[in-house]
Amino acid sequence: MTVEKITLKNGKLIVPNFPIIPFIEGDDVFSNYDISIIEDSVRVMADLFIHGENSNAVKPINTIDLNTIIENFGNEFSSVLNLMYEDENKKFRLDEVVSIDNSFIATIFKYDNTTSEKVKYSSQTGLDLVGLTHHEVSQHLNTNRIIKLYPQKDTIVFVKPNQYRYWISLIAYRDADKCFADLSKAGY
Amino acid sequence: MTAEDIKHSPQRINVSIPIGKTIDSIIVSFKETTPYFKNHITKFTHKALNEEKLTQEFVALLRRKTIDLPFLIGQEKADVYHNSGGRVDFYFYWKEEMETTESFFDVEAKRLTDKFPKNRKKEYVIGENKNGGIERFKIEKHGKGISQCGIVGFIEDLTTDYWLKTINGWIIELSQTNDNWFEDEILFDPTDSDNYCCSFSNAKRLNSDSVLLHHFWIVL
Repeated sequence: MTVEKITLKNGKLIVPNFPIIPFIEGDDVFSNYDISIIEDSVRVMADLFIHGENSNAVKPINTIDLNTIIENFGNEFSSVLNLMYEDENKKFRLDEVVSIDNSFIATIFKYDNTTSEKVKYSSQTGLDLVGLTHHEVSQHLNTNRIIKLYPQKDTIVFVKPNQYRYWISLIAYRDADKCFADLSKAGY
Repeated sequence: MTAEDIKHSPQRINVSIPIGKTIDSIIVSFKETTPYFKNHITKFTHKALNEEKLTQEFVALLRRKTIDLPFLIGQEKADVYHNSGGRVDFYFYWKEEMETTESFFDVEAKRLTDKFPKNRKKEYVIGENKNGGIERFKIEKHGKGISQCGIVGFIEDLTTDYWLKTINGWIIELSQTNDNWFEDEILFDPTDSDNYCCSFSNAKRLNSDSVLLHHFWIVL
């Protein structure tokens, strides 16, 4: 076995000798969640690490892709919580998507007995969310706040920047893990 | 540089999910794992496994069964959050990144057998060195700061009915001779199947509210 060195030269990763990576034959060792995480890591997160602020991952979602991307996020988020909380009557589902000034997206999840898969879409303008979601920690560090709300009964809302990286399956699982922690800590 | 910060509203969460549903889902995963576990220990392991080995194999299969669920299962935890001094057999904690690894559901495992020597006979309830199953939760050696915990019992001999009556008999006996034990700590609402038996009890703690114990017995 050899020790490989990965170097960063002019912002690009250089791998002098490609490492010997164990190869797993067949894909039945991975769950659907694993496969989504691998795909997002390769397709989106790797691009983000390599290209940083110039990555496609930080660009606004193309209008043509919006419904597909957000509904996939909604399905993946709901599927994790439903593993724990779906019963004969109720389950989590994405109910509504609100585009805010084309800069932010709000997703509204409901826990109810609606069987309709149709997601409602709307747009809001003039809501100044920048002050709420953008926080300057220091001269050199800004944070983008992701807002998670439980504003009324059986409702979870996420408000996040309109960038690809926030609306992928990988992040849906992380957001669901956080909501699961909130719900179980609240005694549910 | 831009980093990420997750902010959530401090409002009380109000959802129509039944209270305790998280733990109920965990108990469902125990039930679903049990047939595989029974088959596994018959087929792949030597007979007469001790408590540690039975627990190890049950947890291994439970982890496989619950791999997609939003929690993780740890084993033999030293309590770094409350310094309670005990090491619980296995425990559940949140998968949530960058957050606490504190347990939200501690589980103790005990064998139910009539082959124990006299000094270990009542170990499911009380032990010689404060190591009884229910006793550990009462004195907060396990489950400190948690309102619901579990005990998995591996029934090696006799029936679920026998153990239910015997264990409740020991608790009633203790309540008559020991000020820290009470009659209403007996196990209640048993539900049986060929493979397992579930019941509940309220273990009263000296320094905090009672802990609701989920008893899950596997008929080996």
